[in-house]
Amino acid sequence: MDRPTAEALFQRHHLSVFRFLRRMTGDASLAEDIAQDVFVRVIRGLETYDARDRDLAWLFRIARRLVADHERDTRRRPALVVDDRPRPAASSAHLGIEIDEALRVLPVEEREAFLLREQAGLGYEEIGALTGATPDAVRNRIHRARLHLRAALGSALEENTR
Amino acid sequence: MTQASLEVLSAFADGDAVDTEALAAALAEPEARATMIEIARLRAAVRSDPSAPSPRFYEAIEGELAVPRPLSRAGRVLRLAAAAVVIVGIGIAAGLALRQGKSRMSNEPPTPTRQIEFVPGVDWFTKS
Repeated sequence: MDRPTAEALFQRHHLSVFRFLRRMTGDASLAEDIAQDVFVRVIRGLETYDARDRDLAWLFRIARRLVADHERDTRRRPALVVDDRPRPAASSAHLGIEIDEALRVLPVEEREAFLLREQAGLGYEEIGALTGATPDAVRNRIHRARLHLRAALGSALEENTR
Repeated sequence: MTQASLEVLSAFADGDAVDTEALAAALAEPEARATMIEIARLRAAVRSDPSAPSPRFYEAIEGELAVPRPLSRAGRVLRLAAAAVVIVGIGIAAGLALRQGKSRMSNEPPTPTRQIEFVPGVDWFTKS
């Protein structure tokens, strides 16, 4: 299978990658930097395209690795984290903020598996291949994440999605 | 509702293969309907994220996309083929030039660049 062009990959997937990164890191500015790094690497041909992956899974593999690199770097030299996540004015967007907060307190493995499933639309097998977990472990993580989110969001979900 | 039932419903909502009997048992529980609706609501809420990168991000990527990118496999093959044609062409041209140069050669001596005259009557051995 031929590698899709960088432009096509960017057009199709940059929002998914950015949103995944924003919710993984809890920092829109950092998410933007990492998303930019993902696509710069793809455009410059610095990443080996694996035709076994779906395009999206390949991009998320790169994104995930860059997040891990960033976390390793920040552990070495702790930096001041500026929380510049968007604060929507509309009350209908309030649920989005609540979801961000609830995701933030989830264990990283649960948050990652949940976002890869719900935001990126990857399957258990794909998530397992990306994270090095078995599909059963992925199913458990997603299930636990849902339980935590249900508990954290309470009635807000019902009120805002009715 | 048991954890096992919740897990089955969660996997079913994700399109994963589930044991049909376990699914039937989970769906028979009174909270099953509400659980499925909550999973759907959560999914809708997560996917309706309106956030987007800033213009700075798009400018940086556009700058990158304007830079010449590595050639595709077909492009590389085409470039190699063109290079081979050029090399063969140069070889043929050099061969032809060599052949033409050889054909121009004859038995005549080359044009002299210096002329030495021997004057009769000069005694080279007599000291002056």
